[in-house]
Amino acid sequence: MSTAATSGAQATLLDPQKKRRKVSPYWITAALFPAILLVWFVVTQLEVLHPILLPGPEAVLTSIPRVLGSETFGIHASRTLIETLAGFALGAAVGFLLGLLLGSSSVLRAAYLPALSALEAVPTVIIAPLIIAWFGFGIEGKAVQAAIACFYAVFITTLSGLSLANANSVSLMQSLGASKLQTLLKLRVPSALPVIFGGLQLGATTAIIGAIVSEFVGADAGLGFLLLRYRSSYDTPAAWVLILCFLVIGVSAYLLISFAEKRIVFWRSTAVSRPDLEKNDH
Amino acid sequence: MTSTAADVRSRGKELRKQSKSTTQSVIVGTVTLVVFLALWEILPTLGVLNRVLIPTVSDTIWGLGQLIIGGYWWEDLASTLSSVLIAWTIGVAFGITMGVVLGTSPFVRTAITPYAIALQALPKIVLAPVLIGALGFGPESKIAIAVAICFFPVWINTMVGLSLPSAAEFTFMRSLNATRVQLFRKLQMPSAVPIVLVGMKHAMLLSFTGVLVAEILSSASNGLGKLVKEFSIQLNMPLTLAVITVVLTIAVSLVSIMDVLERKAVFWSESERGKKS
Repeated sequence: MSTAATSGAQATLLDPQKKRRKVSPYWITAALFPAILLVWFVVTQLEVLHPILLPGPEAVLTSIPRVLGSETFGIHASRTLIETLAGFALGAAVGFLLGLLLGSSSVLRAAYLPALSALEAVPTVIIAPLIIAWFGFGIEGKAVQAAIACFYAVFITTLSGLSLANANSVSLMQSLGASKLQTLLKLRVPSALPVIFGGLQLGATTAIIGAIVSEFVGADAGLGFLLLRYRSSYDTPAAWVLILCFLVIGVSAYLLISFAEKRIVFWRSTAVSRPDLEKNDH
Repeated sequence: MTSTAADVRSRGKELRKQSKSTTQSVIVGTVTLVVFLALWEILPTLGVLNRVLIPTVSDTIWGLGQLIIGGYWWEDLASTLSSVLIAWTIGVAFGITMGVVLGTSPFVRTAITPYAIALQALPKIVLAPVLIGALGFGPESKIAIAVAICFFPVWINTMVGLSLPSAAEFTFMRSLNATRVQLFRKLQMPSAVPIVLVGMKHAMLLSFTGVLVAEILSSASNGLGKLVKEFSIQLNMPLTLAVITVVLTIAVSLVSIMDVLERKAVFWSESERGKKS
């Protein structure tokens, strides 16, 4: 009886707020997409820009089967995917290991961090021509460029994540006779994982950018190479289809890493606090 | 979730503050540097590495001297620098405007978050060929590409920063009869400025990246990116490395200037940051 009364009271308390928030913001989200398409369509119908420069949405949509169905599309797409994945794996592995190394020794940290953190400011695309000269037009050069592009994000998040472990937990581990390696593997790395995944997410995007830029500079295959070819033959709708492909690749990488994070760091919501995420909503 | 980029960017500085250099670390750092330079000098000289592709340290320093004495590239330097700064200014102004317009109300913010995530995941550099096709090989296309890339972190950081105050802080301000404008000026803006500045710093790097990519892609324009590409095609590696050194120096200086400005501008955020980390 009393519980029913309180829940009823709660319902009336919550009610006014519910009424105010009747429209879900996601309706707007859904409505925005056709609105964008409509604006795009109207702008191209008015011919503000020449159709060669800005094709209409209908031209891009009808080009999708032509571009995706062409014989060589699979070769180009798989080439770019392999380059990105290999580069991401290489860059993330090096970044993670270097982060572990510097995270476990304060001497190395003080010695190398100033030089390494200058990498934060460096536009890595500038060495793309150099990498091409060293490695040629093949997969290797693109993978190296992608690795260089994504290394820093993973390195710096690993290093800063390792310092997040609770000081009490560290002394508990030590008092139970855990070795330095055990403390690292069982306590500090797990508590760093949420932050590292943030770095991986950023690193995935930058790895894709590294691979594409390297293909722009010089390549014999790949989606970036294909994009330049469509551009130079003024097949702009096809170029826009490829841009949509890159959007799909970017979003899939983002979602895959979010999914992996949820599976691997399943304890995050209870054990590790992420003030940067939790403070986002009010 | 969208704050990760800013998050990653701000971590380096915090870590640098924490680690103090001791004599031991100075020795380790110096020894590493000396060994690295010695290997770089000796391996190409002995022929272990191809000296045409990987010139020695002395070759590179000689190339740098040649480049500076030559003086034919001041125009390229001026073109790159002015494009970077113009694009950065436009991108920051655009990003802050978008962030304030779309980020002040939580309702609008929730509605557009999926689009923001999709835009963030799009490697925006792919727009470069299309923009060069539309705007030509001049500075316009460089600036347009750089703006398209660099406005994003400013926009996202402005939105995130405006949402940082807690619900209790909003309720408290409202209970004191604060108007919408007062809420914005006295509560949301002070909490947003530090994180917006981090975004502006990130935008500087991205603006530089965008301009360089445009210069490398469109061979008709001038600029440091074009210079690197031409020297590397000629396999003139000492000069290639010299130009790369110049670019790295400029990039690090620009970001250091941003660091100093950040510290000067947001004197109140030091305590805030202490709470967060």
